[in-house]
Amino acid sequence: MATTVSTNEKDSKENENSQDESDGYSRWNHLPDIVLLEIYSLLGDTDRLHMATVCRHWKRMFYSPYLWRKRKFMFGGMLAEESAKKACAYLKIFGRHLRVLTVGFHAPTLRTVKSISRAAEIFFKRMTFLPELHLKEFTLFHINMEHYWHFLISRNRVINAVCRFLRRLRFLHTLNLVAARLTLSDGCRVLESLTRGCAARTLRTFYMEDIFTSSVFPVIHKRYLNAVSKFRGLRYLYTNYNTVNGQILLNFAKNLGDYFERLTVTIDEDVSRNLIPEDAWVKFARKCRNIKVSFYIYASGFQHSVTEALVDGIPMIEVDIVSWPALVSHRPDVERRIPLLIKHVADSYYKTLDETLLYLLRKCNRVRELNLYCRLSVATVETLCKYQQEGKIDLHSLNLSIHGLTDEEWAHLTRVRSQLLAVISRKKGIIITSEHEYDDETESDEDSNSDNLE
Amino acid sequence: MPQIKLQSSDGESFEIDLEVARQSVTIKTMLEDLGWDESDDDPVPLPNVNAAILKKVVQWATFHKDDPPPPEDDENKEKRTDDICTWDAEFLKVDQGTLFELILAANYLDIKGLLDVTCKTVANMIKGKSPEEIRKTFNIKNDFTPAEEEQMMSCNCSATME
Repeated sequence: MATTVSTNEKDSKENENSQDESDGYSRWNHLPDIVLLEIYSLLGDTDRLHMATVCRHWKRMFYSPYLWRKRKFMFGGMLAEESAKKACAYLKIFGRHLRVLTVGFHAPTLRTVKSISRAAEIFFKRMTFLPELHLKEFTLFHINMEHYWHFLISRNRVINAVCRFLRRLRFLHTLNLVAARLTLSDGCRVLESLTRGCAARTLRTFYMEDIFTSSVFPVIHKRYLNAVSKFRGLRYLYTNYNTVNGQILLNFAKNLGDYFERLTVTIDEDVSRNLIPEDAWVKFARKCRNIKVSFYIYASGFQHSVTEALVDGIPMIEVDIVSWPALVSHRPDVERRIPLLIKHVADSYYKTLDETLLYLLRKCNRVRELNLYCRLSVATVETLCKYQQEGKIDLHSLNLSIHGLTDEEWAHLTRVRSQLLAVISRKKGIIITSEHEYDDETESDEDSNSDNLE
Repeated sequence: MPQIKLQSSDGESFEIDLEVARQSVTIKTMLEDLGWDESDDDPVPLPNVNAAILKKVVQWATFHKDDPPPPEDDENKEKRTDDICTWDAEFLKVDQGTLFELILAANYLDIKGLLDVTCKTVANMIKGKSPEEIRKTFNIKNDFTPAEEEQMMSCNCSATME
């Protein structure tokens, strides 16, 4: 390390470029390794390479595994195949350092589907036969296989490549297949490849929300039940309500027991065909004593069946209810077109949402944390407050983000809020925010609308 | 508030608040190991930092004394270099010699916030430049043979992704 500081540099401002007296060059090439590493980590690939080409000392840290642990590859368009070849060249040099990998394929069109599926084939083949691969996390980013529905050959090419890769993996800790939207047989194949490989034992966290297209109803198929029951090491599972049933819960209970810590269930469609009976939940909770279940309910999918799904006996800790406005808020491109739709959806489920919420809270008195992003009547908030006062529910924190209130209602809510604060504030906290009608500006003064008492 | 004396490599003493000094993990550990208490009057020697740089470091640490502790390195978080606060940007408008010494001092004293922001400044000076331009910027000697350099650049093509 170059740490010598000459004492005659009293005022280093006058000392241009900290010259090394001997040859007129600066001492920048002697930066400590840890500093070089930090600078490398702040740069993109091209800049890293340029930095490495500056001098020998700088180059050394360029190959440091730390810099190459995480990578995201996206393949799309007509040049997908080319990108995959480049990615393979990258894998050849840095592949053994990879720990966290994200791969994405753009939605194919008639013109690009061949190129994209070939890219998948080339890339995963290289990955499959990479000698020193020790991947920890793998994300197949919104692969959206339903886009391939009439491109059978290409679809098979992608699925085959993915399956072979998953089967050959020697280790995997976290897998994210959210929004894969596979057909039933493809989905089963993917799950089977996983459980035939190491992942049956090593996989801890599995995000499989929307792994099937919404038209698929997997729980009645034996093949699916078998595949999903073979995981032995799962701790965290994120899935849809319709991909779980009583039998699967019992299998989890048997295979995972106390290791199973978190089950997050999304409901965004009609679940009346697959209501999980209460006694299954009770048995499940008895065997998996550390389990915490949380529900993620989309208001757009609100049906009365939701209330039937939320039975007593679910070891539930958290319920999030999300309605359309929150869903589209991070998609500014559609936001402008959507207000009519929101209004329609929000109005039509308006009553249901309020009723469901109160029903849910009465039924599931173990809910401690409640997050709501929706349109809700002030009366409901008042009732909620009453429940809390009467001890029917025991919320520790409440996060309300309410849309579509009139000024009058908002004023009313502000009064209700002080009551709520009185009953909840001694616990963790309460946050209430509101967005006025959709065409309004966002609230100008945030402080006046939100309270966060710790 | 308790004060502590620091002594630069060239013998100058600085008296600063203990809380300010404790942002340096090196000093903090030193004090803990030495069992320092308020009655202690001996200055803490910092043989690797001169007075001019120590003055700058103290100035930085005093301004940032109420900052929340820096978050643990999160690999999943995308690193940025454009989030340098205005005060820091102004503070780091110094010649390269001083910037270099500040990096070494931040590294030696183990002050994460200062090291972060100085590294970001250097990263911003490197971004978008060719190797030759970087060498010119920092006045660094090219110690590669032309063949080696060419080899690096060909590696460039294959590894440059995204």
